[in-house]
This record gives sequence, C-alpha cells and structure tokens, in this order.
Amino acid sequence: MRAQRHLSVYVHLPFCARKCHYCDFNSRPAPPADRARYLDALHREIDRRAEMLGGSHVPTIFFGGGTPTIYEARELVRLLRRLRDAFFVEPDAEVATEANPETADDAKLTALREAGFNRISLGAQSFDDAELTLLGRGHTARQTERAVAGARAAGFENLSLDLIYALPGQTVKGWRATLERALALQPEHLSAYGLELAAGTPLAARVEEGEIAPVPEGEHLGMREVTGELCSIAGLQRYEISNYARPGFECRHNLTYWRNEPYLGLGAGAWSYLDGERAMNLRDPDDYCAALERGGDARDYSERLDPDDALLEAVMMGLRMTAGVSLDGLRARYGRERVEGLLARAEPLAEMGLVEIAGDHLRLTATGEPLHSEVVVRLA
Amino acid sequence: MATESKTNAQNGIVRVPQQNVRNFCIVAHIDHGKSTLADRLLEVCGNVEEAGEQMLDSMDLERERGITIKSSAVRLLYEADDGETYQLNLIDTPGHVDFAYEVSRSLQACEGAVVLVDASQGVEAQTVANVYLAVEAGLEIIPVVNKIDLPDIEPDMALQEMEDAFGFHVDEILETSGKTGAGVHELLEAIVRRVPPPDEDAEAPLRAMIFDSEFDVHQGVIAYVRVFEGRIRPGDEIRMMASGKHFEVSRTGVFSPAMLDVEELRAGDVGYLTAGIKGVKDSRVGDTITSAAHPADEPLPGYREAQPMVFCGLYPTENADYESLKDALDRLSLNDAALKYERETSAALGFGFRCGFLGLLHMEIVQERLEREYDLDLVATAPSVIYRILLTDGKVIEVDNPAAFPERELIEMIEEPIVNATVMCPQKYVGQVMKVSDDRRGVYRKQEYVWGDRVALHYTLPLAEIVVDYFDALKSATRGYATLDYEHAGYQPENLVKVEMLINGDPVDALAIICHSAFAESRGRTIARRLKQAIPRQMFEVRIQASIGSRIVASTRIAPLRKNVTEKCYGGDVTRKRKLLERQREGKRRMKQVGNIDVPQEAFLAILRLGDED
Repeated sequence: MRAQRHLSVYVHLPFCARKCHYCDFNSRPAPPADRARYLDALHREIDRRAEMLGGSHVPTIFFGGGTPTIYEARELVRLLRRLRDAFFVEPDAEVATEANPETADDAKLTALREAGFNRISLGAQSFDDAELTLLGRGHTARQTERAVAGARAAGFENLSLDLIYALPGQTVKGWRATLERALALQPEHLSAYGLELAAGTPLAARVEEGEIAPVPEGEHLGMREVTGELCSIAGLQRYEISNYARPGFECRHNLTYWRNEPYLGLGAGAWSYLDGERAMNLRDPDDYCAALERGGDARDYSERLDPDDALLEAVMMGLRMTAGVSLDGLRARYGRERVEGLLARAEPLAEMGLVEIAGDHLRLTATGEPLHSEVVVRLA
Repeated sequence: MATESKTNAQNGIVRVPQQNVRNFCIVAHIDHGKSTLADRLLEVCGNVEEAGEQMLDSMDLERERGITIKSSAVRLLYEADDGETYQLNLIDTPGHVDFAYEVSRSLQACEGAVVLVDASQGVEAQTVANVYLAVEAGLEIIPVVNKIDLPDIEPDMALQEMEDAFGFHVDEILETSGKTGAGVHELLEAIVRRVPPPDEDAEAPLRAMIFDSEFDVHQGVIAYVRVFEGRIRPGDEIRMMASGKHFEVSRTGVFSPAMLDVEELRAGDVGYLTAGIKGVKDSRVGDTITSAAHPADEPLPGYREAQPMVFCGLYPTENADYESLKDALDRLSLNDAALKYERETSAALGFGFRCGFLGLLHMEIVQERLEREYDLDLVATAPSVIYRILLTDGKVIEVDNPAAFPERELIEMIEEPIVNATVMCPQKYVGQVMKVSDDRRGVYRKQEYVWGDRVALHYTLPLAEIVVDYFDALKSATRGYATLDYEHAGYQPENLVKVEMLINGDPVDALAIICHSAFAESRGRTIARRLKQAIPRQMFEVRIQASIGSRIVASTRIAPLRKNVTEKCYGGDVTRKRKLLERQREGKRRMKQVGNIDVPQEAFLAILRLGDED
C-alpha cells in the first residue's frame, strides 16, 4: 500500500424533513426505516472503500445533505467512528457537519461536539420570516439564533451560516437587514449564495408564471457588494465567490474542491476525485442501498479527463478562490506549454480588467468575479 | 421483341420496340407526394422488392427538405393490360424557381408529364409554372389528384381546381394514393395510352441532350442523357457541342434505379454515360452530345450556360478552416456546374470566398451541404447581385460585393440588374401581390386573366429585391398560391447608396448593403435593431450604428453583461459545470470574432428579410 495518501472525505446524507421550495439537490423526505437502511449501506460502502484506500490520511471530513441532523447524534457519531477506524483521520482534521436549525437541539449539538465534530454549518438562509416561508423553510429566524447559541454552548468554535440572497421581492435594504442579523451572531464563516432558480422547483415555477419577479441584475450585484462590505466590517473576508471567513477559518474541506485535490465521496450521488478519475455513486438512495446490499459497488459513472479538460476544471475551480489559481501548480500538473496557452488567452481578459496576475497566482478582479463563467470559457 | 421475363436483373437490358417506349416526368409541388408515388411505380413494375422511403431522392438533404435538387431517371418495365411490355422512363425534376432551367431540360427529355396535385392542398405555386413549361415543351399532360387516402379530404375540390387552373376535364383526371397504391395501375395504363412514343431517327447523326449529371469519385462524371437522334455506345468518341471537348465513352446504361450497363443507347432512350469526364463543368446541363466522327450540324435548341445571379461571401468561423473550405468548394463544384467561387478577403471575417449561385435556394443548399457533408462552420454574408458602376473617370466596373463599392465621390452612376417577373395568383390575392411588389420597387406592367379566376401580373423589378425575399413575401401574402417566374432584363440606372454598419465605431465590411436611397435610412435602422437582437451581450457595452457616407442614420447599444457566475460549486458540481462551460465554449466557437466582439452567424443575415419591417 502506498504510504501517506491524502484525501478528504464527504458523506452525503440525502434525507430531510421536507423539500425546500428552491432545492434541486439530491435530497428528499423519507420514513425512518429508509433512513436506517441508508446508514447500513453507508457503513458497507466505507468498508468497501477502506479495502483500497484504508489508512489514507484524512485532513477533512464533511457531512452534507439533505439534512444530516435529521439523524440522531449517536447515528452520526457511529458513522464518524467508522471513518476513524477505516482511515487515518489527522489529529487536527476539520470535521464538519451541516445542520438545520430545526433539528439542531442542544443535546444533539453537544453530543456531536463531544464526538469530535469541530465545525458546524447552519442553514439559516434568511433572517426574515416571510422570506423563510417563501423558501419553504421549516424554521424561523429566532430558531436559527437559538441554534447558534446552542452550538456555541456545546463548544463549537468554528461556526458557519448559509444565506441566500436575491430572493424574489427582496431589496438591498432587506438583504442588509438579514446580513446584519447574521453577522451579529459573530459566525467565523459565512456562505452567501445569490439565488439560482433551478428548473422544476416550486419557486422557479412561481417566477415562470409571473407570480413573483426575479431580482434584476443590477440589484443582485448591489446585494453582492453589500455582502462584501458588511462582512469586511465584521472581520470576514471573501475568499471564494460565495464564501467569507475570519482569517484561518476558511473551510478546509471546500478548499480541497477548489484546489482540485483528491476526495472520496460516500453516499448516494456522491462524487469522488481520486487519481485523476471523477466518479459518481448511484444517485437514488434506494438504488444505492440495493447495490451495496447485493455486495456490489455503488458507482454509477466515472470519467478520466484528458489534460485539456482537466486544466479547464482546475482553472474553473481555482478561479473561484479570491487568491486565484497557482500557475506553478498548473505547470506541474498540466505542463508548461498548456499554461503558456492559458496565459496568452488571459492577456485580453487582463486588458479588460477581468483577471490579473499576482505573484504566482492568476485571479479574477472584483469586476471579473461575477463574470466567472465568461472568463473561464475564454481561458480554457 | 417480346420479353421473356421481368426479373430485376434483366429489367434494364430488355429491349422493347421504340413504339413501346414512354418518356415521362412527374411535375408536382413540394410535399405533394411525388417521391412516394414514384416509389410505388417502381414497386409495381418490379424494380424493387419493396421500395424504401423515396428511392429517387438520393441526397439526405433532399429528403429532409422534401425537395429534389438533382433530377434522376429510372427505367421501368410495365406489362400493360393490352399484353404488351412497355419501357417507361421516369425522369425526376427539381421543383424550385432557382432550378427552372434544369426543369426545362428535364421536360425536354420527355414526351409526357404526370401533373400531381395533393388532394388536401390543391393546386400550388410551382405546379402552375412547371405545367406551363411542360405545355410549352409540347408534352402530353396526365393530371392526377394524389393522397386520396387522407382522411377528411374532398378530392372534388382539388379536381375542380385542376379543371379551373389547367382546363382539364374532370373525367381525364386520375386519383391515386402513393401511400396505399390505389390508382397506380390506372396511372400506368394512362401513361401507356396517352403519352406518345418517341418519334426519332436512330440512323441520323448522334444528338443527345445532357439533362443532369453527377460526379462520382471513381468514374468521374455520370451524365444523364436523352438520346434524340442516332446511337451511342462504349468506345465511341463524343463531342460536347457547347464546350467543344472530346471524350471516349466508357459506359452506357440505364437506371433501374441501380445503374445497369447496356450496350447502346439509341434515339428515344434515356440513360447515362460515363466518359472519363473530370468535372460536371465539362458536361453542362442542356449541352448536346454528338459523335466526333459524324457530328450533327446543329445542337439541340435551348442550351444556356448556368449563370450565377446571386452572390454572397462564405467564410469559415475559424480562420484555420480556410483550406478545408477551399477543398470542399472544389469538390462540391465537381457536382454542381452552377456554383462559382473565388477567393475574397474581408477585414471583419478574414479569408473566405465570394460565391455565385443560381438563386437563394441554391445558395442555402450549397451552404448546408458544406456544413453538413464537410463539417464546416460557416458565416454567410447577405446575398448581393452584380452592380455596374460608371466611375467619374469614365471607367465602368462590375461589383458583386457591397464591401467593394467605390467611394461615393468616385461614382458617376450605378446600374442594377432588373428582371421581368410574372406572378400568377388567384384574383383575390391581386391586391396583396401588388403591395408586395410595390414595396420592393416593382414597376407594374400589365395584368392578364389566364383562366378561371387566375391572374398573371407582370412586373419589372430589381433582381436585388428578388434575391432578398420577394418570393417568400409573395408566398406568405397569397397563402402559397403565387407562382413566380422571371427572366433577366438587363440593367437600369438607379439611385443606390451603400449603407454601412458600424460596431463600436468600426465599419464591418460584411454587414454593408446597397439599397435605394429612399429606403436607406429605414433599412439602416432596421438592421441596427436586428443586430441588437442577434448579438449576445458582451462583457462591455456594444454600440451599433448605421451610416450612409459619413452620416450616422441609426444608433443603438447593447448593455454589457455584468453577471454570469455559478454561485455554488463544490465537489459534486465539477463535472456538470465543466460540461456546461464546454457547451458554452462550443457556442462561442460558432461565433465570429469581429474585433473583440462575438457575433453569431445569424447576425450576418440580419440584413436579410428587410421586407417585413418590424
């Protein structure tokens, strides 16, 4: 076995209490029996992966969903323990879970913290109850505040809030109010996502029918600007297109993705990126469980990229970070010549003030950030 | 000579006496079921076990667009009710005004024409023009109402229209269904009884007309011929009377519909020959083949050189594809004598070709074939005609590209090509036809009642208007009933100006147009508006202006794109997102970079269809 393989681990827990109106993720409500069956399958998958990857160094673990905290603390703790048995989870590893204010009661938070979870990401989404209703969330702003207090009491010193802005009907002023309430809770980390209407969701349907109006582009950008300003005052710096953190509290797990480093994804629909191969598990939780119960593999799809596509991905992900992408890193992985081509294509974009080179890094400017896709299409 | 058998293999080589030969074509409007009916005839005559879809149309494009681009010919053997075996040569004809000359050559090769009308559609545009061509060529006409299997149709209506339109008696009109085969037997009998046999002399010096040809990589040109006099066999030395070129015949044969060699073709026959001819330019449609040793005194009448009337620039979207485009044009022209092209350079579009076509449809077909068969991404500039310009220094130049127009101060006078057009339509559409024609600078000449309530309107109008959208506008104004035929009528001085389009201050040569000064400003405005719709938002503001000389007559702007970003992108989103960007990149590649602006292909056609001002 190769020594010192490093990989981050993502665990997907697809179940939730109800489907939110904007959500198009691989998540759904399910009865307790299904949820238990799914946990068993996850344990089987961990065992299978451990055969090949056991002993790997794991610097970060992330439980995402769905709503991971729909499970009891002991169930989540048992999963974490299984991972610790299978892999070498580094002593200073970042062990994070997402949580929904509805299901994050004090006892659960305490149990999770005690078992070794050291980062919690709360799905606050908004601090305006009317907006929470519009989004189909099952909690109030007050409940979020209580969950934050509970997490702090439980000993979480690395806490993140998820927010969504540019909601139909929202104004810059309204968004500012939500932000202020969120920042008053002094989170170490904040994710603020501009709403992307996903086809097939109830919210998108209402917009399509003209019942509610999407926020105009100028307004949307105004909200984004306000986010940067208020976060900065609160000591949080933007380090990725939608992510802000107090220095040293950037999400190490997510940096793995943006830096195009290897990770193992466990659970239905989870993606892995190992040895240059991207692979996805069966998306449907029932199919996923059935495959593992049969003693088979949960993999549904995998692809190995040619260097050009791989470079496109590395640039696409790397430019999301405010620091940008390391050119030496790209040269080492994709060759000097490809990076020369990339730099030649970057030149006109630099002239337009969309990208810049800072030391060893190619990065987007403040104007370039909201045009990330346009820039990447022209670069790669 | 009696036939022993009618198996597929022997189908072609059976000789019947000349009085048992029938050469005919089927004249029909697009979609009226010509190809399906032809398939049925082939099937009944045992040429094919069971005809596949539309055996006669061999190019994919023909099938998709439902039009016949290249005509073909097929020999059928039919045992008639009188016990005799007849050889029926079915000659297929193209059905569009661009190819009127090709149609007239195909008709010339026949003695009879089956006129097919869709029972649910009635008599339509091309049918009338082609029936007139057929009558002019002295053909025996067999009127047929087709698609009688369709539910809820009243063939009576179509019958009545045919009686009104062409003066047929209802009782001489046949009813068929290409789909079910109903009436096909009766049709074959009618062809045998009504169409006269060819009446020609096999002993006279050879005269054979080329009515079509195609290029085969192995054999060179396959010329489709109708022999009018004399005989022709492999080994004969032949001479093309128009081009004067000599060739030695290597194969003669007939289509069954597969190619089947025969030892000779003689007067009255329809078939093919190969003679090591390198390109279709050496076997022009309409040319007469004669014997080199015993040449005929006169060629068959009616030969005309294919004359391109419409010009446009064709450019590869990627400059690197220039050589591939050149190869593709070289190869395509082996099969298309009417296609002309020469190298051209555009400041906006780079290296490309100025191409000449018979008409708009011909242009579209060539462009589509280049894109489809040769896998090229092309930008086509708006079509133009040839202008004759008298310069102040007394020189006269011909210009087929607006971009190449001289400065205004150097122009003494501009002449543009005009045509005499005949539009036929039912009486009730006369007003609409007049409006469409007036809007396009048409000068009314006269009006005649042709038959029933059919009217023929005669106009003189600029060819430039025809190449833009005259025919389309006529058709939409008359629900498809208008028929257009036109002939060139020389040049006429006109007050024309060049309208230039500027993008961010720079004139884009490929977007320039020539138009009458009275319309210039409004066209400039329309084009600016169309460009605004066609050009996607860029990452900076784009200004679009129209100018005449140095005067700006229209101005508009495209607001910059300020946001295009995926808000959430984590481990599970990479592949999906990458594929999305790859698709966007593909879309971008299909656009042409003009300066630093991505301009989609459609934008270059924004200058078309100016009639329907929006």
